[in-house]
Amino acid sequence: MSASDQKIYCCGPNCGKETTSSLKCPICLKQNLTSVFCDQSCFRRNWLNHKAIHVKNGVDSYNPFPDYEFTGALRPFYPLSPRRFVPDSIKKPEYVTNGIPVSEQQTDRTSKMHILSESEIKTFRTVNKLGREVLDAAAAAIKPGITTDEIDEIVHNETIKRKAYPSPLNYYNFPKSVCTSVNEVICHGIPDKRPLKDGDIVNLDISLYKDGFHSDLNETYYVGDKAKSDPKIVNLIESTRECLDLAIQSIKPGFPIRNIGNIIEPYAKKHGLQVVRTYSGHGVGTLFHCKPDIFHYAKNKAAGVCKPGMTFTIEPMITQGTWKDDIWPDNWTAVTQDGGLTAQFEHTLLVTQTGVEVLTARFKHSPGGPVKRL
Amino acid sequence: TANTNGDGDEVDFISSDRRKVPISIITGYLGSGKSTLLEKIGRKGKKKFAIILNEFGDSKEIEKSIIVKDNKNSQGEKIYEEWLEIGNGCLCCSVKDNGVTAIENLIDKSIGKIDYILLETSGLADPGPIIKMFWLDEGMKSNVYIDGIITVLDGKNIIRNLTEDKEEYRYKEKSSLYVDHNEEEKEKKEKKEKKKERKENITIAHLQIAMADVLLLNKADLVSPAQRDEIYAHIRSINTVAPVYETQYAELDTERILSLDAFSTRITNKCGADSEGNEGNFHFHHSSSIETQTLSFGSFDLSAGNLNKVELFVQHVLWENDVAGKSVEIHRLKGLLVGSSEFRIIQGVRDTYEITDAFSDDSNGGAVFDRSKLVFIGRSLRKDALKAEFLRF
Repeated sequence: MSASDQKIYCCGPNCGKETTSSLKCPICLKQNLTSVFCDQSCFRRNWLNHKAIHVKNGVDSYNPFPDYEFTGALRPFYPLSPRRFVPDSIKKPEYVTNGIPVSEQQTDRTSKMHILSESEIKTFRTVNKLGREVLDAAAAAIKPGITTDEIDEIVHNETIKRKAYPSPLNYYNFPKSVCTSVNEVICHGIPDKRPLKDGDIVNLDISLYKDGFHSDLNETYYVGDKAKSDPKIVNLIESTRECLDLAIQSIKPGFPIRNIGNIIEPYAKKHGLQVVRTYSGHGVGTLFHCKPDIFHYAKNKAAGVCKPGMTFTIEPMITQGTWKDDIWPDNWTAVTQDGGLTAQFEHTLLVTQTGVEVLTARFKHSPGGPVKRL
Repeated sequence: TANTNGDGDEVDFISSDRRKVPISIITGYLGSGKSTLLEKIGRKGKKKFAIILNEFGDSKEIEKSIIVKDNKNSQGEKIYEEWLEIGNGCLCCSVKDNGVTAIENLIDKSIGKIDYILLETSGLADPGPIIKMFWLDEGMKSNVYIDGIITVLDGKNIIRNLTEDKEEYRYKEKSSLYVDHNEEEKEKKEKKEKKKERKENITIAHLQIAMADVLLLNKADLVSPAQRDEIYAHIRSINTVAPVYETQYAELDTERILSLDAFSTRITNKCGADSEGNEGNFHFHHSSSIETQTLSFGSFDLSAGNLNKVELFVQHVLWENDVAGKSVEIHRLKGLLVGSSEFRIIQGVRDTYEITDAFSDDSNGGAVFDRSKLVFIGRSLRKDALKAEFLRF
């Protein structure tokens, strides 16, 4: 293929349109990167997102929000790596060009819960298995010293290897292919240049899009040995894991969705922990996020019961300290207001005629797994 | 670790500034007098009001900025205090809709400066989604709570509004909670929906009346006695529970429409406890229109088992949209369960409901509540069918 046959796309996350423009970001050029934009206004509109990949003179990494009052010890380590490439042959979700999932927004207004057909369930099962494979591959790489960006690269490559698209990439302009949430980050952490440390805890949240379906799963892992020998951390992570397992056990046709929170919150409280309110589980299938909303706290007013063929996630976020959340100036990274540690586990579930099938279940040799309480 | 009490609940230190602020939602057609009402309340009211004029009727609209009106200006002029940019956060996992979060932020920033919030909806808004948005779970620990829905009716035009056949005024949303991708289920449902559509004659005006906790019949001076009777007949056939106040230029004592506590755990006369439901008297329309039906029964032992049965009945009607085999559509549910010495209140808006412990206090002037009631406001309701379905549980 000659150079003139190559299609060029605007690299603005809000745009993504094919372009014949030769307008390039001058700062990127100095870094030997080529970033093409449609025109000046496109460049300006996407500037905030785009400049995250610019290297700062003289330093390996820097904090892009020096004036923000961080709630804990964690800091972002910019620059982010440039947006990773997905081959044309892989089917992309509708939001890949400008970040907006139009179908989700339209469906949400009707608030309906979808029941999948037999053939849809077959395809959906496969996509979720692939999701588990990718999570396991990434988790196997966790060790002190590896950066979250390097984990993102693994996730991205493993996803593409399976001819799937990494769902988080450009979803509402999320810049990367996986959410990496360290320590006090509740969810939606952005992979960057920070190396993981012995004693950290990290959650990897993986989503794949293939054959028209999204999968969604996450697990929290101990980094090194220090975290595993801290009884408070083990209590946090294992209780969260157990919250999810306990909730899953009750899922069957007729089970009211609002009762999921009535199982999770009392169990968390029993272990001295709190439940995050702002983020919830969700329906998943042809859309990344859709109805029903799955609230993890007790006494919620969610409508509906489980029906065979319904597919959704349960993903409790549990905290050591306050459940109240704050958000970094990147408008993604959610953190606990008191900087306390937080853990999360997520599975995608299918309601069957008699109970539930955990579509993202662990394999025998999946890395991580329950640790005995100390 | 957070400060927790014996129950494991987090203990926030309480200051008087942290009281929850009530929100009243004001709805009604364009020209009914909503804006006049808001201006009057803002001017005469003794509380510090935040008045929000907004198109909350469409979830896309929520991304627009909203204006907060502060009525306390030294020159008596209305000033726009603040433009609130509602951020376009991740709508996927965020529980609280951006509209609510923006308002909570406003209150946080204006602690002590806001006593009460008045939220005006767009004239053609279906109030249902907006009410649900502000009817937050206790667990969200919000600094706002919904006080009640005030519907302003244009006396001159309300009958025409109710019988209007224009496309933009018609309410067409299908009530089912679930969408089945399996081919035969899909076809069955579509046939059912087609039947309903043929009888469709519900307008947004119907919804605004059905959802109201209090109704204002404005421009009452322009209504002849004959028209007045007809209007009341229409209103009462839809909603037998909400009190109606006649007004001119939206002039009335604000005590009648504010601090209603319509969604609280305190039993008030306004929760339908004293309404028998006027079945039969105002049966104006075909059963395809919205009407009120009441199930009334005595007090009973509010054991966990019995309460569960009532709850399963409510879930069946609200979520399966089914009563004795026939399709129904519930818009509002208000109920009172009376035990030997305790009460439960049931509150429902479309598919969302809640059963809470309730108490009665002196504010009811010594009224005695000894009959349990379930008041349904919705479409295709028949009392005998409801009764039969209830007895099944």
